[in-house]
Amino acid sequence: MLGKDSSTVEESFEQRIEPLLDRAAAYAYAIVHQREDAEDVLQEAAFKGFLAFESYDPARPFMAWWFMIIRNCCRDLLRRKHTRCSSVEIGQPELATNPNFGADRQDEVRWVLEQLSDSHGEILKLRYFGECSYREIAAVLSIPEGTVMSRLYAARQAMAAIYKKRSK
Amino acid sequence: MNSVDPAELSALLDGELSPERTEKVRGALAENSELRSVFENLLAVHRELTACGLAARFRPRIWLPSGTRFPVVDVLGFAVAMLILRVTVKFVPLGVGVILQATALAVVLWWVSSCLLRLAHDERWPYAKSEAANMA
Repeated sequence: MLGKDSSTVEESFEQRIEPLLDRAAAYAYAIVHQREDAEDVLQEAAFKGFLAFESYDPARPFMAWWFMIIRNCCRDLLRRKHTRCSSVEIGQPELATNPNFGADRQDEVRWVLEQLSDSHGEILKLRYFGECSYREIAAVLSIPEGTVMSRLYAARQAMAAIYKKRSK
Repeated sequence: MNSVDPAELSALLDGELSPERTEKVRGALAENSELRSVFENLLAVHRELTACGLAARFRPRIWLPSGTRFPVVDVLGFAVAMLILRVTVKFVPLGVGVILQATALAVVLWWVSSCLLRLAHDERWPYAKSEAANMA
C-alpha cells in the first residue's frame, strides 16, 4: 500500500463538511460581511482542509478543526483587503434575505457586533453564526469551556449594554 | 441570597447546563427579580443574534479537487507491463504477438484517454446530489 487512498480521503472530507456548510457560510459571512467573500473563504478553507485532512487528528472535533481553518482564511482575506485598500469601505453590506428578520435588523445586529471587543465579537459569531457548542468553541479558540461560558456571558452583557445605550 | 453564577444564566440560554444546575438556576430565577431582569436582557440579545445567525445562512458553492493525483502506481505498472510484453512477443508465434500488441495498444489508449478526461474535470461539484434533492 502507498499510503491513504486519496478517493477515500476526499469522500470522507466531503461527507464531513457537507452538513456544516450552511453554518460555516453564516460564520464566514459574519466575519467578512460580503457573501462573495464568504464563498471565496469557504472555497479556500475547503481546499486547505482537503489537503490537510490526512494530518487531521480524529480525536479532535472535526468541526472545530475546520472552523479554525475558516477563521484563519477569513483573517487572511481581511488582512489582504486591508493592505489593498487605503481607506475603509463604508456601505451597505449585502444582506441575506429573510422575511422573518429584516435587513435593517440584521444591519443593526452586525453594527452592534462590530462595536464589541474582538474576543466578544468572535465568540458570539462562533456561537450564533457557526452554531458551535461550548466544547467546539473551546476547541476553536483554544480556551477552557468555563472561559467560554463566562466570555459568552460578558459578550452578551456588553451587547445588551450597547442596545440599551442606543435606545436612550 | 442565591448560589447562581450570572454566567450560568447565559449557559442556560445555550442549554449547556447540567439538569441539576438548570433546575437550580430556574429556581433562582423564579425567586430573584434582579436575576430575572439580567436574564431577560440576555434573552433579548440571544433572540436577536439567533434570528440574525439563521438569516445569514446560505449554501455556498464549493469545489474540491477530484482526488486524482499523479498516478505513480499506474505509470510504474504500465512500464513493467510493457517490458514483459516486449519480452513475451519474442517467444510467441507472430499472430499471438500481434494480438497481444493490439490488446496492449487498446489498453494504453483507454488509459491515456481516461487520464485526459480526469484532468479535464479536475474540479467538480461535490454537492450536486444534495442540491438536486433540495430543489426537488
